[in-house]
Amino acid sequence: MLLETIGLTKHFGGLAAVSKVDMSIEQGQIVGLIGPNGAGKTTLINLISGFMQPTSGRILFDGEEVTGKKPHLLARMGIGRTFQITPLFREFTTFKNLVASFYLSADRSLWGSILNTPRYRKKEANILKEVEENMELVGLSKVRDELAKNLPHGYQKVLDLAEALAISPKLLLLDEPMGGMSQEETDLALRAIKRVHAKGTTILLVEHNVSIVMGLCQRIIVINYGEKIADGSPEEVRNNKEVVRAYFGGGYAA
Amino acid sequence: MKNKRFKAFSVIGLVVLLLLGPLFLESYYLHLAIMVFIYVIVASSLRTVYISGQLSLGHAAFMAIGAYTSAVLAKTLHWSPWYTVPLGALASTAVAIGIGFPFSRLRAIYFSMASLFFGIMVTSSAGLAPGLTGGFNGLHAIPRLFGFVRMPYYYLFLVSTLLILLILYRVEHSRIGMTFKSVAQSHLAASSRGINEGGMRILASAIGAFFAGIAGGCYAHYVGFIAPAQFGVMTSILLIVYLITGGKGSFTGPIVGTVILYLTPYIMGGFQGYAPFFQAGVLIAVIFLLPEGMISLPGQLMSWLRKPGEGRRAAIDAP
Amino acid sequence: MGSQVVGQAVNVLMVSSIYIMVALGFALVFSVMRIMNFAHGAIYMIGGFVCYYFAVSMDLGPWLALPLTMCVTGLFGVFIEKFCFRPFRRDFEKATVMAIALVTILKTGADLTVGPLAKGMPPLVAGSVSLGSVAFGADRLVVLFIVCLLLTALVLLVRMTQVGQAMLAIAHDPEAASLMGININRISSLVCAIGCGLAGLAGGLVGSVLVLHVSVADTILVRTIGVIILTGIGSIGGIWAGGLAMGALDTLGPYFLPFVVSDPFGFALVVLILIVRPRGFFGHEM
Repeated sequence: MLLETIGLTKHFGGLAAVSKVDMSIEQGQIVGLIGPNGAGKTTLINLISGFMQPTSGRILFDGEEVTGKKPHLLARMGIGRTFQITPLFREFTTFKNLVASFYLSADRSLWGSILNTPRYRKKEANILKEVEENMELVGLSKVRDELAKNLPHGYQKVLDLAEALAISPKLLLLDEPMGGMSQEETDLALRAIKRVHAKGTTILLVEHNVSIVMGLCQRIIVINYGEKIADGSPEEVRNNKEVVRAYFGGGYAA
Repeated sequence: MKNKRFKAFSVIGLVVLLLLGPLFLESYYLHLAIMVFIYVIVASSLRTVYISGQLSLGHAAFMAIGAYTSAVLAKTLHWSPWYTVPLGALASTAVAIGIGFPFSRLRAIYFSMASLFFGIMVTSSAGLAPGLTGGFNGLHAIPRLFGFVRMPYYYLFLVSTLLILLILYRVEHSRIGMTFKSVAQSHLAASSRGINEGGMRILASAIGAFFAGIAGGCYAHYVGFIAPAQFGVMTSILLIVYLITGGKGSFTGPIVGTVILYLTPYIMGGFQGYAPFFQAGVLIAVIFLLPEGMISLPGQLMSWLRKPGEGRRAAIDAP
Repeated sequence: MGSQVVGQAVNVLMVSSIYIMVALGFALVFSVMRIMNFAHGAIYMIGGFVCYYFAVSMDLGPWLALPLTMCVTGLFGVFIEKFCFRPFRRDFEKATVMAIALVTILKTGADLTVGPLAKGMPPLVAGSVSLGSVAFGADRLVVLFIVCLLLTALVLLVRMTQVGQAMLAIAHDPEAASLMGININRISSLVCAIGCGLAGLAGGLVGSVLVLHVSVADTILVRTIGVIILTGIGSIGGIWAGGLAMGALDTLGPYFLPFVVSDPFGFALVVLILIVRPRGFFGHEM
């Protein structure tokens, strides 16, 4: 099992954003995470990626206890993610964004940088190669010299995805990677995600567009009011009464 | 290609000038040059902290720690300044790392506030152990490196400054510098790509403090006298002025800012007391008219000359 | 023994009340304008000297000089809001740099006109007051009284008037506030005027009780920041606690440690609190 959460809970004051969520994800799966607005999906992603501390519960990754670990440590262990509000290095070009994101592949020592050692140079050269491949994979090569802040919204989201891949993640958490995208951009993103999954990366995908999720994911977890209400194949979830009630009886605006 | 060759030649020309110049100059000008070297180091070290997204309003305190540690060790234990100056720098670095742990958690404006607080705290500590540190009146008779002849100081500091600038240049334009700038732009993105963003900010502060400490030690063993007032809020602010007016977007910004703003008061002759007004005025002018600093002046002038109406409007509308 | 305690209590209260008033001005400007006015300490210092000018040089006496001082620094607040801070509302870096340019100008101006000497002002009220067997300067009580009056007025302004509610609204959510028709420029102007006016007045008040010197700009600024750190960012209502703590540290510290040690010691304590409880007494998570 690659990822397992046990009784994961997060309270904000008196409000339970995530409540006793048990879930497990096997290596190689592509799992969808859906639920009405404010159900707690992003909070769950934040907890797993270390950006928030759980109030209680445990998280295990690759067999190890990772509850409460800092985000950069989790990234080094292989958990990558994208964000709803794409935080990019806005003053860098697309190209430099990616070079910066390959931090873990670089010679991180102070001496390597200052003295420009052969080891440092070799690793940087490797990174340049990987950045080119990465841009090809997600389709960003033509905008490589644009400043990230000037990219159209859809491209920014794809860049976020490309950066997440830079750490060679075992588990990729995608938080609404296609939010606000045009149809063309959505297709671009979908193709990229499929390619990434085909290469062996496990994916947990949060997405509002239920039909995309149904088509893409082998398994779907449904969250409502912070609790897991369904977990199964797309057919099972589609026919689950509670899920239907959550979306149509509980004030979800599709 | 032509541009690069021009740049290389001008740098070499400058270095030659710096090397041979003192043979023809009076001692007073050597003194000015030495002070410029010292403050160029401090201002550039401030930039290293700045590119990691931290605007430090208390950087002079690290100069003070380096100066005082080195001076006290040399005076009381009679160690040679060649050892005490690096030790002073290490003391500065240690303090920067220690204070970095709580401070690196602070977001931008709160960090500035805390750094200002820290700077005042350090200078107000001068009263502790006045027997050792000379208290608020200052510490006299600090062992000098070369006695009272200026020439050796000039060459030593010239070489040191060039070496330190080279190191800081490498820091900024390498993976480490890129990582600092990444952290400055987005904590979230940096963390999720595996960057220990808090640690990187502490590292930037440590590097900045180290070289500020070196400069402080150099200052102490050249001038022979140090007092808390020399490293107070006004000095920290002056360093920011050098950084911003010179150009916050480029490595040579603080160098240009220091050289121009440090030397101008001496050109003003008897009006030296009014120098801070001039410096504040230039700062305000830069903020409103030339946000990228004086270093961008040649470029801006070129574009103004090429497209008079458009360029001017664009420069004023620029954020 | 009891008389000593009462005497010290009055001192602590007076010093704390000043710190509270100054910190409140600083915090209000930060809440409403999202700008840290690092020139706040310099304005306090200028207030002291302006008060001296009115009270002594123009021989108007302290009771006339104080409100005049508040007006002068208040108007200065309006000026700097419009020209130094308003253009950079979204850009904290430039606003900070403008503030430090102001500090430079104000401090240098003071250095050149007043110089390094300390100046004294006549006390507001001569003589002393006795409480039982304790005698202490009546002027300190008067200062405490005046500051408490002003603080009460400020609290009433914020809680009970429309203007005050507008300030709270902007502090909460500037965009929503402007959508509701609140004139952010005008309110910011007012807030900056109040903040600077109170700082200048405090400078004058303290000048009448203690001495005036150019160095007070730094000492009050560092204490203001200390109060803000202790109270916690984001909390205005809790400043009374931070101010009291700071005032107590400052006044009582010299009893336990020699003065030159108690200053940095007090600051070290603040840093310790920052390490142990970054949120301060009442603040939000930073």
